[in-house]
Amino acid sequence: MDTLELKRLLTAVEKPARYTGEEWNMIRKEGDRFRFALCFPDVYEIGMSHLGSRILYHVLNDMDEVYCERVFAPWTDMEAELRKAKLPLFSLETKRALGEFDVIGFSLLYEMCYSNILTMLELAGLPFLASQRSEDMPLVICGGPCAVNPEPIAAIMDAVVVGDGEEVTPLMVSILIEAKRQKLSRHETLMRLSKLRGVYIPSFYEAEYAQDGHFSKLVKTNGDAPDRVRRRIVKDLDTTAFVGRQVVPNMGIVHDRVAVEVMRGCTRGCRFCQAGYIYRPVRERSEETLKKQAMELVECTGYDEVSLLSLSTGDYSELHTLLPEIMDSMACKRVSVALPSLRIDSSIREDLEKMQSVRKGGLTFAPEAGTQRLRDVINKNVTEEDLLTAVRAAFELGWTGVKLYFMIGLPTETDEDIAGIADLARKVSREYYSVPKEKRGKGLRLTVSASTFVPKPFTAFQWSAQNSLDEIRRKQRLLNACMKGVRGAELHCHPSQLSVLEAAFSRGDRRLSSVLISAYQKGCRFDSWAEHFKPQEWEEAFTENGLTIEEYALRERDIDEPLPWAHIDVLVTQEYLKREYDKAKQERTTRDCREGCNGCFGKDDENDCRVP
Amino acid sequence: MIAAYRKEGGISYTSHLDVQRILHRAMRRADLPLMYSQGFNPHPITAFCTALATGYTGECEWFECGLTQEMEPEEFTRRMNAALPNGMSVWGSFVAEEGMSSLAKLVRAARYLITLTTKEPLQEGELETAVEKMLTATEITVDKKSKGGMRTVDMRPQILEAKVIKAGGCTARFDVLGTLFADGGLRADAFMHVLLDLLGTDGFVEVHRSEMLFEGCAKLPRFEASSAATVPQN
Repeated sequence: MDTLELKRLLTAVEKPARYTGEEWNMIRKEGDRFRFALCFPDVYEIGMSHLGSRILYHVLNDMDEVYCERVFAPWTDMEAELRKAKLPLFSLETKRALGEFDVIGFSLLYEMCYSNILTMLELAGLPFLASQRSEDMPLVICGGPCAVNPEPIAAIMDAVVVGDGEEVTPLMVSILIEAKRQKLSRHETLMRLSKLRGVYIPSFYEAEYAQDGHFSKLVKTNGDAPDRVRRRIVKDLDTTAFVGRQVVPNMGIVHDRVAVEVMRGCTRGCRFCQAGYIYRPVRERSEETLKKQAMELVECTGYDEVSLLSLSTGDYSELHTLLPEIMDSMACKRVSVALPSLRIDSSIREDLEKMQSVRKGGLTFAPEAGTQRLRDVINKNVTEEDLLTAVRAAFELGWTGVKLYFMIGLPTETDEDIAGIADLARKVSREYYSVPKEKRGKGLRLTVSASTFVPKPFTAFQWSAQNSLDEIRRKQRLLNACMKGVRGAELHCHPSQLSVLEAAFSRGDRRLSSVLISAYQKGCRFDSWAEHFKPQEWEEAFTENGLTIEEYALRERDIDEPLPWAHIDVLVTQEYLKREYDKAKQERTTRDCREGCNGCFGKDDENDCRVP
Repeated sequence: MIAAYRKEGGISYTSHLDVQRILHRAMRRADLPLMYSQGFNPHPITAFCTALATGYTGECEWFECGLTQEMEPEEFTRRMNAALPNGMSVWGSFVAEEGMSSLAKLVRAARYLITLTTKEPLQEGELETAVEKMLTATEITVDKKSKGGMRTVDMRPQILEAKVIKAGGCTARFDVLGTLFADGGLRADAFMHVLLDLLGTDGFVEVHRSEMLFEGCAKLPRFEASSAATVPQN
């Protein structure tokens, strides 16, 4: 791109550093190579905070014949400038037009970024639908947690990666390089990709719908395609420990620190939690690998903070030896260590004491529900006593900022459960005030955060109805009233309209691709950003396509009803999920699978799970 | 240690706050014997002369940093350059003298090389007349955004020198020397705004800060007192 043109663009927008690249550790390559555009359908600050994309960037660039460059969604000001100047969206590394890449790969972390995929494709000069893209256009693929139900974007994607991406993406790229060399047709290329475990080619299947308008089945249109697509898993995280020299952004980003993944998966089995099901089994990295990785990353980035990342770092089996060692080795470099999640149990005081030396940021606990009954329903095995002991320890050690996460609208929830949230908050507040003044820190900051429950595919609640918007709002008002008089507490309720749309897309079928395109054409962008979310336009987009948001979000699915995502095999079986759904209704809990196998994988995959 | 760096290319679009963080991280990668601030969030002790506006390039951005051990300036420069991202580089450094005032207190003026690109070609004569008009004016009032809302300031005393150094076609270049103090000084974009108004045209402006001038330290580029008559006392 002409430099004066680029300068004009950068001068015209807010936060131009989102588009300039040139960061420390950015990868430069010369010459003609296979070009992979690693796309994140949100702004730079968010995309650069995503560990998975960072891993892929280095894994792909580790291939000599490939140059992987980054592309983020342009903020609305940049989109307008690009359109005005009739310029294409471009990569950070070489400022190459997105449409000139061989492959465009999107990381999909949340449903509410889907509209940004369309912005990026349009600014690349590409048709939205895979079926309308010609042989000489880039292949459009995606991966990430949303890919477990790829149906709402099935019409847009040429291929979808289900599961861990760091092994299969290079394999795919090798196939694509070979296909390019042999000048294979797109159909033949996709056929080859479909042979890889974890790769789904949506165009090889067609959806059918019943008289009542519900999804009835997915029919294979290509006899050679697999019946079911099995999730890809990396068995040993120590052998795939390569993370490269992490890029250090020139501007502030959301998670601006070294992130070390201590383990993948979680053994807790919370019934609402999709990540808890789709990242099984738990795979831990060894202490040695972690210490080495943390030190290397700190040295090559200059960061002063390391975060030990996972779904539940407090459950890492060697945490009590890892934490002091890693903190000691970092202390001389003036690097602090952050634990994003703590386990609420007897050892918490010990963990907190170790964290004394670092800055006392806010502590976050997630009881998720206000009463023991409801916590049993969702299998959140935390008791009130555990929580109160934990916060008491924190208050006595000088912490004053505590955040409590809850969900509103969980299956079987009653007004009593809502009142229970406020009761729990009140008890936490009392714990603070019962600590002698000279022992506690000054000024309690108790934040109670209530989000809206969204039923997700491949969870025990994939059949459950979401509460209607009116009902959620009523419960929010009720909670607000109950919270009156809780000293030092502040209540935050998340906007519920967005959660309803998220519910529709998370359990959506292929018909939602047209809804998405309609909504995009009405101007929907950056839907997860409150200032851009346009609920009215989304509603119209559903109506225009003869559908309603409510039908997807509010309807309880019959237990035997065909599910649009049933052809994806995430290894946890549908039978197991049904069992968990039943137990939830009976308010019975399921043990943490570190205490014994609960049999969530089918017979064929049992060996993939190494947790005894 | 006192040092000057260049900022050019893509990285010139990072804000001053981000540049500070970039330097801190580079210093950590360079494994320098850094002096740290106190508190739970210690960071290397650095002080900058003045901020360079986002989007401007510069080749004389002075800053100071605290070290716990003596170090050869050449070694400092070498290690910093091995750790700075593309577009930024240190080109000179020296050990601060005992009792020296902060750079921010000593700075007096800065030189800007400004490139103007217009759609229609401009004549050299027009450009020179417009610059001359600015220099002969007794007062140039411009609106300035400040904390308490809009405020009118007189820009004329802030302009020390201004001349056209290249003209012809659709690009023109200007060399402007303006006052610069820790709490403000001539804004190159405001200068160009007035100039473009006089020319009755519009264009794309690129600003490069080529020099920063100081008083009271022999090792820093010296501000010549001959222009001092027009410099308002700080």
